[in-house]
Amino acid sequence: MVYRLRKPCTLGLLFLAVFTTLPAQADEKERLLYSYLPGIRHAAVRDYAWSPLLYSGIQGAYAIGYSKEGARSSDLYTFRFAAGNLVNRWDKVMLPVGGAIQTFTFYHARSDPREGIHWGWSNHNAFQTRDIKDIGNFNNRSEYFTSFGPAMRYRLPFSLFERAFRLEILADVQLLGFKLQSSYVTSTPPGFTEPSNAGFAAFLRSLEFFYPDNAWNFGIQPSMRYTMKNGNMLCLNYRYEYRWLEGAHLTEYSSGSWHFGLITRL
Amino acid sequence: MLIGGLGLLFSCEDKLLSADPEPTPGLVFEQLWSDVGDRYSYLELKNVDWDSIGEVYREEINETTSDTALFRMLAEMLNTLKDGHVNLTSEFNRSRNWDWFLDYPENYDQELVDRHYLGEDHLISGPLLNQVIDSVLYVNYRSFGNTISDDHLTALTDRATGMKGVIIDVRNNGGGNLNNGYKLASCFTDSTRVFAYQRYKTGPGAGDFTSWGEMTIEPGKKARFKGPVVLLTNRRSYSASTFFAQMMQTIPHATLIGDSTGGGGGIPAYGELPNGWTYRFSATQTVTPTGDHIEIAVPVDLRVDLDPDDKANGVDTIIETALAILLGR
Repeated sequence: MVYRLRKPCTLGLLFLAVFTTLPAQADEKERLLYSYLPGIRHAAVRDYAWSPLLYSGIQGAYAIGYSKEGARSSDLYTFRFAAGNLVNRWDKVMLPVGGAIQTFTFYHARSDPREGIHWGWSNHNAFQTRDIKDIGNFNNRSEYFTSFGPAMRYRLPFSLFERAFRLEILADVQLLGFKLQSSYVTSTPPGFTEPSNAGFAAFLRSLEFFYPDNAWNFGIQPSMRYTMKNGNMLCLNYRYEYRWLEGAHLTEYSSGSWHFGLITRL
Repeated sequence: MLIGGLGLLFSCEDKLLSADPEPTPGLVFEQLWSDVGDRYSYLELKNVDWDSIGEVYREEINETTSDTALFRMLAEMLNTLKDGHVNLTSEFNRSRNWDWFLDYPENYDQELVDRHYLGEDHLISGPLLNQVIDSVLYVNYRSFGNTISDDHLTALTDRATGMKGVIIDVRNNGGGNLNNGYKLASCFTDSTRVFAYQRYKTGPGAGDFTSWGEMTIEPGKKARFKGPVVLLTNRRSYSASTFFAQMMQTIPHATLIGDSTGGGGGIPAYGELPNGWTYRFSATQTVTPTGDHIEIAVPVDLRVDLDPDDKANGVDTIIETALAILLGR
């Protein structure tokens, strides 16, 4: 069952989304910039509004991140983007283009922030549009969601050949939020197809709750870091993400992105 | 090693989603029948018993049905909708329904128009072929799929300046991009006009539609012609041509002659079947301000057929009638 948000709840959630993307109150000891080289994403998507068939393939992927690591808590902000043609078993082409801004906050007031398991939460803001080659009318289908959920970070520093490495694994599950998806037949969200709605009212009418049973999103992100003599780090990063969004039609998405990057101490 | 191991595991991202459905004839049929039944917008208007039609074809399709036989049966099933916007496309064929023009007079001869009206020296303003005939600008537009630019319209209206009228010929124009219709109509209106109302399917129920929304034409900013206009249509004027005819119906100094358009008032949505075949079907409804569905047709103000004797003598009866209207003959 899908519930339409009422205006006050929607405004409240929007406020929460803005408020919680602001940095937490951390001891600001270390700032890091994550600069990733363009990477690759192996993605698979199925949009039941168009087809029961899976479209998969390799896309170009881009990412950048920033973190603030304190004694009591750490914040990580990431921006990801990917685009590229996917094909189905009959070589039909779909072009998904998508991006996300995701934040993580981990708390470690009573543990060593450099190693072990740290718990916290994550906010994920993601969009994707899909164009099907060779069809017209209502071609582009898209969705956007903002959600929140628990997150975990595991750090394991180790040395190898007297060099400092660290394995880090992030994991998050998105539980609550709101989403917009294309309507039953058109590209635009349903609120915009109703003539009596206009502007922001159409946007509000298009919003749906994001909650388990009508939406699933989780990710896991292992990375290996090598600390150089100057204190900066090289990293090899993989991120897996799964999405399942039930709107007018179901879309499901599974992707794994590889990046190689430099983590710079600011 | 851990990263490598995880990488190997997670390079199978597509394997973590459910497998594609097997493209069996039965499954292909069910997908098509079910989606059209849910999202086709004219089942009620056309009084189609889609459940009964499905039962007939479901019995004929089994796992041994060949691709060609399956295509034939699915095409027959779709043909019961009698909709030119409903097609099934495979690698070897594209189904189509032509009932909307086959049972009516042709009323258009391209050779006749080229030889005796456009002539060798007609101007080609993008897709708008135009020629001056007895102080009337005759414009021939073959497909709304051909893009009209602002410059094309400026060239047209500049040439129409001082003319006693303009004839726009969209006979046999099977449609295309509605935006071109809006652009062309903008030349001939001096104010915003509501020409139709449209609604979209919102769910599988027969009555699951949005409210009716206005469709309007706006006056063009630059290229305008304020004199009398005659629009020529026939039964092969379909889809965007039908919408364009309805736009012109709302313009006081426009007259529609020839034969009614073929209809096509629903905008098609698309889908794909498990075997890779694609299909499209009308997913919206459009009505005139008086509530008549343009899916059926936009009628003309004056019914005129192409007389065979005229045609044999190099005369297009419909163009001549338009000239008579504009020149006061």
